[in-house]
Amino acid sequence: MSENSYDAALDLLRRLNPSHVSQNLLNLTKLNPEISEDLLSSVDIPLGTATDPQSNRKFLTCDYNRDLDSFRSPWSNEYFPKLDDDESYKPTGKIRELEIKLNNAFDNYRDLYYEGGVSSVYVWNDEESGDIDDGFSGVVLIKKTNDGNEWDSIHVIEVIKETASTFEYKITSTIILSLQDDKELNLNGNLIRQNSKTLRYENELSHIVNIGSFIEDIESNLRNLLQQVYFDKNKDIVSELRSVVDLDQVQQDKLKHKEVIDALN
Amino acid sequence: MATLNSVLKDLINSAPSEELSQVIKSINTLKSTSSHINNIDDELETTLKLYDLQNIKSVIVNDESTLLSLDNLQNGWFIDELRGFKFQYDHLNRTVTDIETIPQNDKLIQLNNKLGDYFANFENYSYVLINDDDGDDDDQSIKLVIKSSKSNASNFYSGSWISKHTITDSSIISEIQLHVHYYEEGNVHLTKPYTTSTSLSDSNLSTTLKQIETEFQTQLLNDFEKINEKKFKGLRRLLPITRAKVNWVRAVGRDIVN
Repeated sequence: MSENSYDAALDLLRRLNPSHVSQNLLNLTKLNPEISEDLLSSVDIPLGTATDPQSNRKFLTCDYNRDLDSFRSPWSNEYFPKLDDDESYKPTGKIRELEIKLNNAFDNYRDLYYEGGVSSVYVWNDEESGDIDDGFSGVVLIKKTNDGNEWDSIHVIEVIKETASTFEYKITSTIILSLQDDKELNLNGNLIRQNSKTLRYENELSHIVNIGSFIEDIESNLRNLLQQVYFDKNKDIVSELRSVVDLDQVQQDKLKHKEVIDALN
Repeated sequence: MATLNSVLKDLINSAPSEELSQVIKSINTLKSTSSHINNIDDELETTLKLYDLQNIKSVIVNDESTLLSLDNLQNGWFIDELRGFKFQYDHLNRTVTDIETIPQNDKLIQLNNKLGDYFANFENYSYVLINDDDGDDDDQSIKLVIKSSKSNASNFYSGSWISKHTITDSSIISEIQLHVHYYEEGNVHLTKPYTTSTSLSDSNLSTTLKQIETEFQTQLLNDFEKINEKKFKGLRRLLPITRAKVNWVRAVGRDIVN
């Protein structure tokens, strides 16, 4: 794969309307199949929803819990539709215990902040034993749909051991937000932010508390940022395209304002 | 490749018009490193032509700014009777070609004089007047097409405002198309189409046109407030139902007890 072509594809994806992101991704891979794998694994698309028939609970689907055309449920740890082989990734031991606890904790969080929607957490690492002493990776997902409007949170987590009592938590967060009204006003897009923090580790609950409170803060900041960009920033740009007041008047008002400030100084 | 045309069409049609040159550059980089594609220039030219006409591309001809639209395209020539020239455009290479002088249209000049301070609300714009006279005395109209655009790469945004006003003696039919793109550490698009019909009883054309556009803009600001209040706040709350941040220690503890 050429680095230039990958960068070109990413440049296109940050410019093209994200309401067509799945189709755009497909089209880019048709135009240049060499970049398919890297592109599909690095670009966030809106999350899917499936139902786990064993627990009768909904869970979220994305590339992180996919194997072929099946998706692993965080509730039963099984793939649906069922896979024929037993070689698909299923966390065991401590890492599965951590995944269960994170899912329950974020289910509470989702209920308190979203009053609906679906959440799923998936955790993995390279240790076959499921040991998490040196760190692990994971993704926290939340989706809320309301009257055609959609919010998708995707937090990709990397937890790295620093000392016996500290871990570094690196989180790449993407919020995909789609809003529309009945007058064809469409606001579609995503904001992406990367954050990292070194936090104390005391016992097995520390990872859940650290990840939970970190994501809670990140989501609150991103929510404020989304509000600024989707509403305030867009309003400002529209007024640069056409001012409601004549531009001569705007200029005169600015001069008067400057004169007042100068007089005060 | 049978679907190449539709692939290019999909990609280019979702591009913001003020960033088309960067989009084309990236598509060219992709095709140049792809062993899959050899020559896509023909398909690209067809797609760009349609895109330019739909998004009303602004071009400079004889040091004057004019527009490319389906309304002023006749037999491969873009006609500007207000300014007295016609020209062809190479959509693939993005250049004006074959400029010819044509007679200026008195009717358009007269209407242009009536526009007065209509343009006072726009900073960076181009416009064209098109005589839609089809020979029928009862159905004479003039089309005013204006495009205002802004591209600010250092602050990661671009936008375009297109108004098409079809003006007859008694009415104005207006279509407005708005597209804003903000892309600092993200990718957010605002799109909004608008159509309205207004009777033209007053002789002050400029004031009526300004009122139509200001009415749209005021409605848009109200719609923003409604979406913010009714839709955005219904997705994720600013604070939890309990009005206090989540106590993760307790949440985890409860889970363990369970």
